[in-house]
Amino acid sequence: MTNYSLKIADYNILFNGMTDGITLRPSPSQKLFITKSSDYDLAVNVFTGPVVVTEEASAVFRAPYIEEINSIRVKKSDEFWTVYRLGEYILIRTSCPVSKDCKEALLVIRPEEKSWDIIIDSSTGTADPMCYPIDGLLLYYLTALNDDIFIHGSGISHKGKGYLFTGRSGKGKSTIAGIFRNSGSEVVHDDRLILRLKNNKVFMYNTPVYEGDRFRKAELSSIYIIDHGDQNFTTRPGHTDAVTAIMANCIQHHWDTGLIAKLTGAILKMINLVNVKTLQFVPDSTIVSFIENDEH
Amino acid sequence: MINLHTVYFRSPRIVARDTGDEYVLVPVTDNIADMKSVYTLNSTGAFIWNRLDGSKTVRDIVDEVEKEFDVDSKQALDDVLAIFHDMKEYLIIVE
Repeated sequence: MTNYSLKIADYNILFNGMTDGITLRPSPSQKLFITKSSDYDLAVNVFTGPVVVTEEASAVFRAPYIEEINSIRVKKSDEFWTVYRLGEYILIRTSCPVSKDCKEALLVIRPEEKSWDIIIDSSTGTADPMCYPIDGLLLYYLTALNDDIFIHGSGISHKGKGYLFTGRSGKGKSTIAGIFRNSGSEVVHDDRLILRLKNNKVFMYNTPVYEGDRFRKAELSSIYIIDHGDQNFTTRPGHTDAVTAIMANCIQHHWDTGLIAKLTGAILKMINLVNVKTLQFVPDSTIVSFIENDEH
Repeated sequence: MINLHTVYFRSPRIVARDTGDEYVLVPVTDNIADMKSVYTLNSTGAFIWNRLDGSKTVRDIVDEVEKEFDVDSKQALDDVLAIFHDMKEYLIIVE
């Protein structure tokens, strides 16, 4: 196909193939996010061709390529993706290490506009405009520029309540999602979520990561900053501790003072609208009733 | 070493967010691997931060802390010097 739209976190993102003969091929994880809506919040023009960053652009932020192997983070190379600033534009040049069709890509972000570009260096003429890591980079900048929060965590919809369990790697996010899933709850997502503030409510959304994922959304009631413990136990942190603990688990690029201010501002607004607690938990089914009672 | 006669400034590479009577301070960085530090200031640190207006010396701020928090001059001096030491070490303030 030459164009399609994805609905992610209530954003309709339209991808338009612009180069003659280009075929856009969404990955299996995105297929159930395709929407027929003709309205869009962001149009992304997709081109194939060589990736070139003009010399006038200045590099402002870099990421090495790190793989997690058996829970150990291994740096594979110093250059994975680089953010450049060119006037008001943000350019991101990235290698695409897991794509068959795409060797390299350039994401052109025009923060004040609803039209962005992706140039993909594809030898086949076929392109997935949301291949890794473009998907995360595009969603990060789309949400960050709109005062949303992109966060690692497990989001659960349980008996009409939305819970977000967040914490550093190894603290039990996947474990607690599995326990709630086994109790019949809906897991909105167990890896990365988008939080959006609308009309004094906070909504959490999944993002396409796994094959078969479909759009999911739940209103957020409580955020738990989790860790393993020998009993189920909560405390209520002060505002400063809540902000820093939540921020530690957000996806964030701290090269721009405006982006930092937007994120801290969004977190402060959010923690005034939902409960925020630290939670030590025992990894068994007792945590489900504990959370139900804690909420009441 | 903190000089009592020095005027310190807030670093332009720090974004500060008021959380009530405290502050969250986030450093600007150019590499994702360096994004490990977020600093917080307690109420005394926040009081000092609000007085880093480019005109007050450390001595001036010690005097204001002594009055505001109703502590003796030695306690005020020790507290302020300790906070300035940390803020300088973590590049939160510059001369």
